[in-house]
Amino acid sequence: MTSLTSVIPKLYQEYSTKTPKKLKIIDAYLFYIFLTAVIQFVYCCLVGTFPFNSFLSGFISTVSSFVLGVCLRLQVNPENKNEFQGLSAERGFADFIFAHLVLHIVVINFIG
Amino acid sequence: MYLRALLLLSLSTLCLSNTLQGTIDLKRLQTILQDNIKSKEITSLYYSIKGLVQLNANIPNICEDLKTVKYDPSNIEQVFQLANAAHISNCLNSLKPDILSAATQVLDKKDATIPEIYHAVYTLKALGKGTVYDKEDALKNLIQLLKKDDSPANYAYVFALCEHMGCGAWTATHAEGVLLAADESDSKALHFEGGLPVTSNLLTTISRTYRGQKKPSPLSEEQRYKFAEYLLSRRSVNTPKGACLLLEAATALADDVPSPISITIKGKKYITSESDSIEFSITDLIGRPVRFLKAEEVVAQSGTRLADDVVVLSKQPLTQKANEPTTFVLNLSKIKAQYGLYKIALSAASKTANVNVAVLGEIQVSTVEVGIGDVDGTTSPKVTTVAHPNKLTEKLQADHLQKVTLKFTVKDKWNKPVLVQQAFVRVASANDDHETIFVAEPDNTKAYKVELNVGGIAKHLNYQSGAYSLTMYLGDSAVSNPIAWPVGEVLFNFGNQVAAAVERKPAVRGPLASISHVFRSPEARPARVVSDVFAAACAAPLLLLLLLWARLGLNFSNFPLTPSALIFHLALGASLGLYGVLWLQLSMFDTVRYLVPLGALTFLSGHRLLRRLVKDKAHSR
Repeated sequence: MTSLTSVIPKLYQEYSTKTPKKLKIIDAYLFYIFLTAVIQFVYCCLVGTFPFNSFLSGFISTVSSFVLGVCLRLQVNPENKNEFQGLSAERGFADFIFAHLVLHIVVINFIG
Repeated sequence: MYLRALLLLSLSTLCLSNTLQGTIDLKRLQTILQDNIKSKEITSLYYSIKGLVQLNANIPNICEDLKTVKYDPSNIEQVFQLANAAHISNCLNSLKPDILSAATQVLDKKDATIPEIYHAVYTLKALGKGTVYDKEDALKNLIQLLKKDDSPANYAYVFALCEHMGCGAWTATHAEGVLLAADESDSKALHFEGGLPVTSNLLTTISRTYRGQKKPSPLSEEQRYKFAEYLLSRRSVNTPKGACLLLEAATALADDVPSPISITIKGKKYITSESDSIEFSITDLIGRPVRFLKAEEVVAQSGTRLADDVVVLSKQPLTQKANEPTTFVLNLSKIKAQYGLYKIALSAASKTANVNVAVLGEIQVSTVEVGIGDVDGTTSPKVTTVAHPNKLTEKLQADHLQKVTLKFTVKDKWNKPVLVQQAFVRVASANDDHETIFVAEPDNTKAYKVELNVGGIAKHLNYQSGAYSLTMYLGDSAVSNPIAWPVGEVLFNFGNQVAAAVERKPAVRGPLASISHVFRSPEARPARVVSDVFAAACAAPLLLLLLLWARLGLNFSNFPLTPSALIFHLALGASLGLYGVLWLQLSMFDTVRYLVPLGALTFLSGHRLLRRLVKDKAHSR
């Protein structure tokens, strides 16, 4: 049984070498979204949810962005090429942009 | 009880009262006629003089007026009025000769109507030209015209023409049919289509014709009363024409035998212990004594007290007042002892009328006992007796554990206890206008009692301890001396309930305060520092993202410097910027209006850019 200390550097090395640069950029983006959501949640726990709709729209914005980002990552990943036959990465990016535009008009409307 | 009395009353007025309830005031009609005798207008002048002749009144000389009166020579009705006014007042000499030709021209016409013929014939008759008129032929001609238009008005003219032509027998055979065609209103009054003029003309002509024929009137008794009712309903006429027509019709009906009888109360409708008789006036339609009515036939058949239906008198004859044959006096000294409303059925010969009469009584209250005792009745109350109309000599005191009792008996003039419709005690503050009124209830012995539970009435008096005045009110619709007796003052102490006193609110009048929408008040916000720290914390990951991307070696130099790429990024940025503006000030509609072209631009440029990227990728492969 290999120890955890030996697994993590291995995992990191694998990730650094085998993951395409494009995916790393998306992962950085996802990480950023995730951190923002965590900070918002911490704020909510410490200070309170007032005004609730603003908190909700901010939090939903991060969660949805994260989901959209994951979707983009799935589509761009070359390993999933068979899943998305005939759908290019560019098409995925266009969808990502469109979804973001729709999502954020709702978020802004809800933020009050 | 009252309901039954009312029901009986309404029934009796419907079924039993078969007399008239008033008369036509001839004096008033005469005044109208005399005021118009000098009129410059021929219609008013004619009817005034005609009416005054009917009344046998003095007629001034109007010959000069007839010369200058305004009339239309082409209007046969006005010509008729002028000729007849001159005939009545013996002023035929003051007429111009063209009148005659006006009448003959009408008669020569082929298509003259019945009213025109009537007016022309009677114009000639007034002028003394007894027209040669073939009786049989003329009647046939009139009957032909009647077939075209058989209105009651035309029948009235034909009957009148028949009077002149001497065909009264024909009238006698047709009059009853015409009378049956009268319109009935409220199943109470009869009149002819055309109102008072037609009704009056027909009634007078028919009764004159029948009298000429020495026949009894064709009117049934019911018809006579119903026509009389109609005439009574029109008694407020104020034109000379109306006055004259009403006068003629009323006289015609009153001259019929038996004529309709009117029974009314003359003067006061109540008796008191001082004046115990009621005067009735029994007349025909125009206020004359009823013919063939013997004084002993006028009898008060019955008298009933409305309150309890007790019969108090029966078959009591009335006495005719000396020198006043229309006035009959009913002495009610028998029933004056008990006040109340009475219904008296009065009959004159075969006719009966119901009249309501009030017997006014006097009430008195000698003393009132004001008792103050404990609510629980453990101690005997302290009683103070006050005699009417004195007041309490001292201010009584009562606190919230006590009650004030007022006991009194209302008596009539003969010291018999009676009940009154209204018995109240008013408790009024001596300082302000606050007051409360309590109803005194009688017990079986007709003794009235009011209990004022001081603790209980506090809420009616706003918990304001202090001096209150007690006033007793006694009244009844049949009592001539209602009593308002200020008994005295009582100091009420409402005790510690004063603590619960509510502020006396000013009476709410006028508009209420307008309701405005209030937003939910915002909850407490965190300190500025906390908000700023978290805003910075939320922005921090962005920096991290840029750092990470920099470490991954984001290739900005690879940015394709083509117009489509520039436009795409600018348009996308503009869209996101627009969202910011939406958040700050715009409405959703405005935003969408700006967003649609921006979105289209983004889509087109993005599409072009991405297609180029794909193409480049394919090339590089």
